[in-house]
Amino acid sequence: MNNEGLRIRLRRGVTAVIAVAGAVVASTLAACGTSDEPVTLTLLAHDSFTPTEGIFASFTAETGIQVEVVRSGDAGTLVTKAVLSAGNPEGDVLWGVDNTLLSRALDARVFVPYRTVHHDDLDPEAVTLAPANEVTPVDSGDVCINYDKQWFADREIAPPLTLRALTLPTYRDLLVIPNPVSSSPGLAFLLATIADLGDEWQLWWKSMRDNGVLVVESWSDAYYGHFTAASDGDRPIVVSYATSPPAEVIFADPRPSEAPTAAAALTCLRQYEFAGILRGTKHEAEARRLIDFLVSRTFQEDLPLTQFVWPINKTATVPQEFLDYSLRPERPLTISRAAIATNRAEWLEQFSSLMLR
Amino acid sequence: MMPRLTAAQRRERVTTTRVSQAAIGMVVVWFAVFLVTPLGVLVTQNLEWADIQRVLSDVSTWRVVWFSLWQSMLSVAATFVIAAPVTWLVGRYEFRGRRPLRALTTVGFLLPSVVVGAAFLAMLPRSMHSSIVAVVLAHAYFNVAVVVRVVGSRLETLDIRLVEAARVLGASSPVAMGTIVWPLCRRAVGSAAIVIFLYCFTSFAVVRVLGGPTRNTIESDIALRAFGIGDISGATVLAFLQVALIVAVVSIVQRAAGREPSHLRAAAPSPEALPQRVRGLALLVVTITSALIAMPLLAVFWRSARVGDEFSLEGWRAVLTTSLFNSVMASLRTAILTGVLGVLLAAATAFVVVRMRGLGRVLDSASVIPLAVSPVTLGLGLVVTFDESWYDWRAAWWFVAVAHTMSAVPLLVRVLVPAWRSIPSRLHEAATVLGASEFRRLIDVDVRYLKRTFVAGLGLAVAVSLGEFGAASILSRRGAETMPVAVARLLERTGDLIRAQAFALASLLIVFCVGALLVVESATAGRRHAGNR
Amino acid sequence: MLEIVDLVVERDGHRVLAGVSLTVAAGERVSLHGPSGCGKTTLLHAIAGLVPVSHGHIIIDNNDVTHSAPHLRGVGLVFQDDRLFPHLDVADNVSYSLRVQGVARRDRRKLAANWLERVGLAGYGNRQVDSLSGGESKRVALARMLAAQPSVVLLDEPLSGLDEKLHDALLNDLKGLFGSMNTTVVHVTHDRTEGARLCDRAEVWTRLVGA
Repeated sequence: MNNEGLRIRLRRGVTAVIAVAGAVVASTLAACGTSDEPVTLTLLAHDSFTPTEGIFASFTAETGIQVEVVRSGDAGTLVTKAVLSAGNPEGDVLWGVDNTLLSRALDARVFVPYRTVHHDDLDPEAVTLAPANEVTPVDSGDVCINYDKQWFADREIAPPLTLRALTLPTYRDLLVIPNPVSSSPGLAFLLATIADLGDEWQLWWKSMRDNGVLVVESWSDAYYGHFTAASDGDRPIVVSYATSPPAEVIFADPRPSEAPTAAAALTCLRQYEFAGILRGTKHEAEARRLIDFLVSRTFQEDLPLTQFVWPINKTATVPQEFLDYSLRPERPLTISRAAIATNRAEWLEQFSSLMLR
Repeated sequence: MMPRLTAAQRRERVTTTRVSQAAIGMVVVWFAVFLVTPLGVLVTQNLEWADIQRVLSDVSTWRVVWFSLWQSMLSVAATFVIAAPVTWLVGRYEFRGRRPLRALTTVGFLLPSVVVGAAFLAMLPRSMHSSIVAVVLAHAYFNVAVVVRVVGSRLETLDIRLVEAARVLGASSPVAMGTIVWPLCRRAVGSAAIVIFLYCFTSFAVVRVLGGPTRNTIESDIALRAFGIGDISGATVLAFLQVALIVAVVSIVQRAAGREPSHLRAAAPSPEALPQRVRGLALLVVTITSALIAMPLLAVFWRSARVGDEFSLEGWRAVLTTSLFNSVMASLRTAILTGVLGVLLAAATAFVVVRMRGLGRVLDSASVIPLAVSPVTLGLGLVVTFDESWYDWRAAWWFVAVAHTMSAVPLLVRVLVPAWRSIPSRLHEAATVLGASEFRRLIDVDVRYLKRTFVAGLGLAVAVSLGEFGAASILSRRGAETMPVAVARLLERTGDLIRAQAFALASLLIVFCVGALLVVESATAGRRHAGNR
Repeated sequence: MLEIVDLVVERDGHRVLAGVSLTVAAGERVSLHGPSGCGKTTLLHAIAGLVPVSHGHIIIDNNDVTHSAPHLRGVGLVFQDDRLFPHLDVADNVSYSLRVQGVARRDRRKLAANWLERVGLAGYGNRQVDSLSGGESKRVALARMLAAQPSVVLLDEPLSGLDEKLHDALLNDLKGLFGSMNTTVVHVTHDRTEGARLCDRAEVWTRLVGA
């Protein structure tokens, strides 16, 4: 046994390990920024957050604050991550928690309250949903059943107009929905069935299960993966937004004279989206200014044609073509904020028992 | 006759020495802080009797349990059926291409579940996308390697000429197989079956990707409850139910497998050369198996260079030059840390297991517990425990490695203990007589002898970390997501370019895993040669 | 009685045994001598049915068993390397042939005890195979073979590796055993003296081709 040689080899080995470890640590530290640079706010949002490129330029010019947008999946995923990292957030401001998910985020103390300067310009119905200003409303929309008009016309079948109608054998194996547990429009749809059917909502879902409803993981999977009007799938009925039909028109080239899809107004649930400052952010003052910008006219007027939602700022003007093609249900289904807060978990649990296990 | 030990040396043997105290200390602190505490927090802060009643009295809970049980048993059976030809071939015969073939099956084992899920989605027709068949096939894909390695190695050391002896004594071929080969393989088969069962029972990514939202194992239901619904208590109940079930099944199978004959005859015959009559069949088996294993991998590489229907390297460019590259660094960083920590802890554990009989046995059984506590539960526990003040480590760059190390240590201990046990005691005795202290002995004899095993363990831990998904998906932070998590996130979105990026990242992941695997293979091969001297 | 006619065994293209002929009368004991590698073991394995035969015949008690399966030939073979079953204890090893025939466990272990006594290992039934010495395991292998009560006994270097005292003791025991049982024996060994002491007749081969 060559002790000396072994000792040398050991020393060399240890040195190598320390060198590698040191390199790793150094690279990690380098990844963290210094505090001398101008502030960059991180805005966490879901995948549907697609404002016009450069919309934040005026904000940066005015305040000197840079905005970096980070998209990570569905609103459901977004809120889950926020809940998991409450107090030690991955960003500064979060856009996209909606009224169906709000109670979960508030319970976990994800946000710090802030009353925006534009508070009085905002839709009062939306404001009442967050009276303590933990979050600020930013837009609204309606989650509804959408159907492929051409598909039904070809087969001379009347499209479904109500939730109850969907349980008919005529519509067997035709509906695809995103999973309410993981998807925000999915959850909104579940709440719509509860709002519409009251105590019979579980029976309705049982019948839907027997009638071949397909549950997929996300809205984009349902819409772009299975909806006949937007993919090579085989389901002509999907849960989507009241503004999806106009999107089909406005984004199409050449533009059709009328929308190829339609939303069933009697199945719609009003959905409000909010933005908030994440608790634990190191740039609270700057974050407040971003919130103000997000509900300002400049930003709000960009919303209809980029994200196909309605602005929450009453003073913002909505483009004519958006008004031409869209449907704003007058009396959408609603569920009280208190009811959602109390029962959301239990309803989801009951849904899971019925449909997912 | 060996020279007698001095009184000091004899004393050293009996009491727990400084080295073993350090080893025990390290292991105990590690498990106490990062396993017991999180589990304790889950139980004490999130669990009440009402929750237990609520979850256990719900029929759908037991539907999930039943599903987990039968799909994993089906997967075990399917794996054995699919692996049988290759295992027999590799275990019985020596032929050119035997080692590459065995290595190829192991690639399947080390591939990240997300990658395999994505590859299967790419290969299978849409009608099979949310099906139990896809899930079972994917499970078999991973676990063929377990059968090939565990049962195959047992076959290698099996003296097949015993079958000849049995036949001359009046046993027909099937009877000889049943009375001679099967009893001698039973333990290895049981061992392999347990490992496969564990992986399939706690399957998460595969069931999610290939089974659809309506199929849930206990593991994915834990995630559903904890993160989808926000019901941490219910998730905790399920987590412990899962642990209990795993322990029960493992005990049953281990008892049924019986005890290993206490020795194997000294020089096990080396596998014989491939006889003529079997050659054609062997070629068929080798070709089909290689093709089946390679196909998903090739599918991933193929898709990485296609945007839509055209050839394009945009996906690769994005992975290598944009912020996506951060995930590569995050994965490598985490994997290396896991490797180092894993080997250290596993070595300490193995040291105690081998050297100290009573405590060693306890530690041997205890070291399997992290495997029973699933990755999702572990991640959940870590997140709800270390979330305040000075111990809020959720954003720490090394946090993910903690979870990975916890999963890797049981595997490494299983590899290290037999190797450590095989160190001839005369080497220690000689060193002791020459006056070496215990620490000195550890370095000069044990570490030196086990150098290659440590390297193999390092490679294994790195591979495990690279591919881990469950815990990483919970613990990864934006900007520092590991590669599997980044791939899954990309796959959730739509768009041809996004797809290409996802598959490019997945391809890179495959390359890294194969690299780690090669390290393991070369280290193991070298050791075998050294051992035969 | 055993008769081998013009036996040809080929492996990988070349002839290992080329036209071997041998006749052993019932109750006769023949020893085969020759340099190592000349095919003696192959011949025994061929007789036992473990090695396929290209040409020629093997006839045991007037039955042509050339293409019969090993377990149907009524041949007993003690291998050069014992090949005791490691997962069975001594009694279960010895009574293996009886187990295959469907004899109940208690009965066959009793029979095994008898055979163990006859080979001088009384009371060894419960021992584990790995605890046996070289000489003991050879006796167990012998008992195991005898318990099957074969028509023809083939011994492949049964006493190799034993020290002198054990060697002689076992040789005497074998002689007594075979004598009393009137067994047909083919005994392969490189030791001519051993062959002479145990057997009636000797055949000496220099190459693979007999006679």
